[in-house]
This record gives sequence, C-alpha cells and structure tokens, in this order.
Amino acid sequence: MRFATVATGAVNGYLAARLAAAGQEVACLARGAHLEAIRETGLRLVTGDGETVARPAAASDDPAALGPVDVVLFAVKAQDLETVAPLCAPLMGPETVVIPFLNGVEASARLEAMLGAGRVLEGLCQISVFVREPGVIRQTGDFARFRFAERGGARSDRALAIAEAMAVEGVDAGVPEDVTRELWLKFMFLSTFAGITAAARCDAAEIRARPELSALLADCVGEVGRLARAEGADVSEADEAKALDFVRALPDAMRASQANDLEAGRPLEVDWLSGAVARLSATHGLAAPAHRTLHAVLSPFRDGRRG
Amino acid sequence: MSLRVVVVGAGAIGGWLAFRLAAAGHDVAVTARGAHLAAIRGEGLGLEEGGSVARISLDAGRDPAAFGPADLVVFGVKAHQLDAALAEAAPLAGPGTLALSTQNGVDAPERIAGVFGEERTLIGVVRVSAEILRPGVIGEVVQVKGVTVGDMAGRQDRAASGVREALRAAGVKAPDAEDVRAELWSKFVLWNAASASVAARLSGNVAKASPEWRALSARLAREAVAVGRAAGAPVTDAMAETVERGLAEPPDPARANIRPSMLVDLEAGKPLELDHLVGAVARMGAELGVAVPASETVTAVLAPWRDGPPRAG
Repeated sequence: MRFATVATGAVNGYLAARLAAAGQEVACLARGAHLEAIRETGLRLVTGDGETVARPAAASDDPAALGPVDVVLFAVKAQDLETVAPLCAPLMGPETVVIPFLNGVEASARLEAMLGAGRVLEGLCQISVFVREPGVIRQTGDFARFRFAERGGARSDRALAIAEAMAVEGVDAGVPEDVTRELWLKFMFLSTFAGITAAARCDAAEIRARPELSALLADCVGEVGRLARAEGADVSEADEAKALDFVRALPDAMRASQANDLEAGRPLEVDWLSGAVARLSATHGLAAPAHRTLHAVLSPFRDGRRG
Repeated sequence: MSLRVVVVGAGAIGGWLAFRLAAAGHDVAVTARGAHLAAIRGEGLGLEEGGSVARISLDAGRDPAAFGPADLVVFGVKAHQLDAALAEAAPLAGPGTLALSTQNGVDAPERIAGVFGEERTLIGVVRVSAEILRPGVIGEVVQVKGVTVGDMAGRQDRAASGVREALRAAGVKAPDAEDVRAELWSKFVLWNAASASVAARLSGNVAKASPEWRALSARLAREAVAVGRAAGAPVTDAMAETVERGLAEPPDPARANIRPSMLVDLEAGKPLELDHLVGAVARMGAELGVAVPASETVTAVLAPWRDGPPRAG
C-alpha cells in the first residue's frame, strides 16, 4: 500500500517516519529546509524511548512528482485546508482514499466538497508531536492513536485494510465502532481546552483553581455536548462529565497548542474550534455564548500577531 | 472660599485633581505611597503640560486621617482599593464633610455613603485620561468630558453645587447633567463593552477589525444595560446604541495606543478592577436573574489575572 503525507508536518512526519521504518512506501509532500533535510538525511523521530531515522520512498514539494498513491494522509492546520487540498489532486487515482487528521469536526466535509464524494474518510488522531527542527519530529507523549472510518461511521473493507497496513510499531491505528462519536468526544475536549487556555492565557492548574474558569469549563463542555447531539452524534451527558474529569486530571502546566500559538504570534485554529461551536450551534438554533465569547476574544489573532 | 481638601490616592486622576485644586488656592493634602509619595514630599506634586512641569507643594502622607478635618474628601484610589481607603479615611467623616467618588464602576458611591452618609456623598463620573509619568509627576491629561458631579439622587444643585463650582474655577470641566446616576451607568456600559478589549489584550482600535470582536463588545454593552434595568438604575438602550455606533466607525490608527485602564493595569502586572467592572455585571446578572453569558465568560478569562499575574513562570 502506497501512502502520501500532505503535508509532512508534525503529525504526518511522525506517521511517515513510523510507516517508512516499518517498510511501508511513503511519499512526503514538504518544502523548504524541511524538504531538504528529509531528502538528505531522512526523517528523524525523537521519542521518549530514543531516536529512529527513516527514509521515505520519495519526498518533493511537487505532488505531481510523487505520483498517484493508495492513501493520502492529510494533516494541516485547520485554517489551511482549502489552500492545501488541491495539492492532493495529482496524488489521486480512481481508488485513492484521503484520511484527514485535523482538529475540528468539519475537515472531512470540507475535503469531500473539494475532492469528491466517496474519496474522503472521517478521521482523528490523538498524539502530541512537534517539528523540532527541519527533518526532526519530537513526540512528547507516549500515545499515537489514529482512528478512521467512512463518513457516517461505516467500518468499510477499505478502511479496515488501511488500518491493517498502518498498524506498525508506534502507530495505534484502527477503525472504531463509532468514529463520529470519537470525533465529537475529542472535539468536546479540544475546542474547550484550547479556547480557555488561550483566551485566559492559563494552564490546567488555573482552570481548577478559579471557580469562574471551572464554571466556564462546564459551560463550554455542555455547549459542545448539546451541539454533538443536535448533529446526531452519540454523545451523552455522562460523556460531558467524563470530559470534565479528564481536564481536572490533567498535569498542572498543561495547556493547548492554541495557547502556545497565540503566545508565539502564529495563526490560530480558533475559527474551527470555538468558532465552529458557535457557528454550528446557530444552525441548530442553539445558543453557545461561552464558546462564542471565547471565539470573539481570540478572533483578532486568527491570522497571527496583531497590534 | 478656600476648601480643605484631602485627596485619598493621588494617582493619575486624584493627583491631577489635587494639583488643580491646590493651584486654585485650596488647602489640599494628598495620600500616596512609595516613590510617588517621596517625590511629592521632596519636590512637590508635578503636572506636566506642554512639555514643562509645574510643581506645587502640599501636605502629603500615607494616612488620610492625619489631614482632617476636611471640607471635601476625594477618593482617587482604584475601585478594588476603596474599602481599605475608606477604613483609613473614616475619621474624616463628619457633618461638614463631603466625599467625592471618582472610581470606575457603579458601586463606589454606595460604598462611600456607607461611611460618609448618603447626604454627604457625591458621585463623580470621571472621563479624563491621565498618567503618572514618573514618581511625583502627572501628565498626558486629556479632559474628555471632565468630571460630572452630582449627589446620590443624581442632582447637581444642593450638595453638589459648591464642589462643581470649585472644580470649574480650578480649570476642571464639570459638565451639566440631568441625572448624574445615568452618567455613571452610561460610563459603566461603555466600560463593559471595553472589557472585550481587555480580554483580547488589544486596543479597541486594533481589535475592532474583527467582526466577532465587535459583536462581543456590543453584546457586553447590552448586558450591562440589561442588569442596570433589572437593578432599577436609570439606563437606556441609547447607552448601548452609542457603543454600537462607535464600533461601526472604522479603526483609527492614530488611536491604536489608547487602552482601557484595566488593560494598562493588566499589562503592567497590577491587580485589576475586574470585580467592579465586567465582574460586577456578571455578579449582578446572577443576583438579578439576568442572563449575562458574555460578561461571565470575559470575567472568567480575566480571573487568573485579578490580583496580578497568576504565577511566576
């Protein structure tokens, strides 16, 4: 099975390194110094257990040079989806499948609108990685979980075959019972934690210590729970309670990458996180004032540093 | 007639008022702390205007009670420092002493009245920007609308008239108002809208490029009007509409450095007047059963910074 990574940032850099190390054929779309480093020395993956270097089968900034593949692993910042998606076209043959590993709940629909019905799976990942320097991927947690299935949740043969090919050392890949539910559970935590830690410039310990932030946390989780149910996802109030418990158990200094992006002056995914909660809630006639306010507070920074 | 005036908290606004009143011939004493107090004691209180600093010497110390009896006590401290200042200034309260509020928010006059009495408490609505340029020196004074003064019923005759005259004679704008309580609330509505600027940590003239931010600011103004209405305060929808008109104006790059004082405090690592501004709207909303989710959320995201930066590192 031939894979392409579009683009080869942190998440896809991890996957490309793991898949290539296990002997899978991987073509990396990358550019600039990162591309040069991948071409010259391969992808270096640094984890808690040590380092591995893997050479992908091909690497280029031109998707046409990488040719058609069986599976496009699609991972970019949510706000870059529309810009990057057209680069998939030269990689796609009649049977090619695209799997998005993006934050938010709208990526597969947005990709399908651009790439065609039946070409895109629903996907999500849980992994903590960053590009430490060109060609070097650093994993900070010990988890690397990838889940996908057909949009709507069907556990198709093609999804199962891809999961089997991806289940290499260091990659927990699978086709879950209910991918829609998993997508929304991740979104419930991520949109809330990213919105609060960025807007309040705080960490998990502050959320626990401040009654106002604890109340806001519960409001935000409740808003996503109501939206998930309106969208037809099997997400219960018990799941909301679990999400709250999860945040309460996080390490003190934990904060979302959106808080780091804000501090570093980088563009934010906020339109696809708190902004999506507000926007999608409105289509169901639901009020989501907490996420709407977090979105408004962060919106001046959506394109990076201001003022 | 010369008044004995004690200014409790000679910060930017209190110090400017102290200078003006002293320059007009009133007998003024001020309280301050640290390097600012030392400078006032050593060189007098300075006011920088047009590039040069004028100085005036006056009584200065830490304890307001040492400067009594007074005809007028002006509270220049921040809203979150008012209770401590009132405790220190309580010995100054007497049948012949008026007390003037200058704080942001709507609760300061009542808190002062609790010590000085309803009849002897004056509402001061300050629309002046000023800064402490360096210890002992006030400057950058812009009298936007000056200081609107009235009694607890909002009237400008009776108890308020003498203080208004003294301020005007000292070069302080002290405009006419039908109901000074409405002026206080109008400013409160504006400040609740401006808390969107504090939460974003941006001047409104920069943040307003975002439509979502403008909508939040307008929503905060409407929430303040709603709690005011529920509280029986003299608020009108026009107060929120004024805010919305300002938001609809294009950003003015020349004003990109103008920041609400709570944002200035936040960036300086100082405690915030949170609980007397947007936090007060959130609290009143909860008490009065008025939904104020935007105010609650803005209060929550500022809560870690209420007493200064949350933690080192």
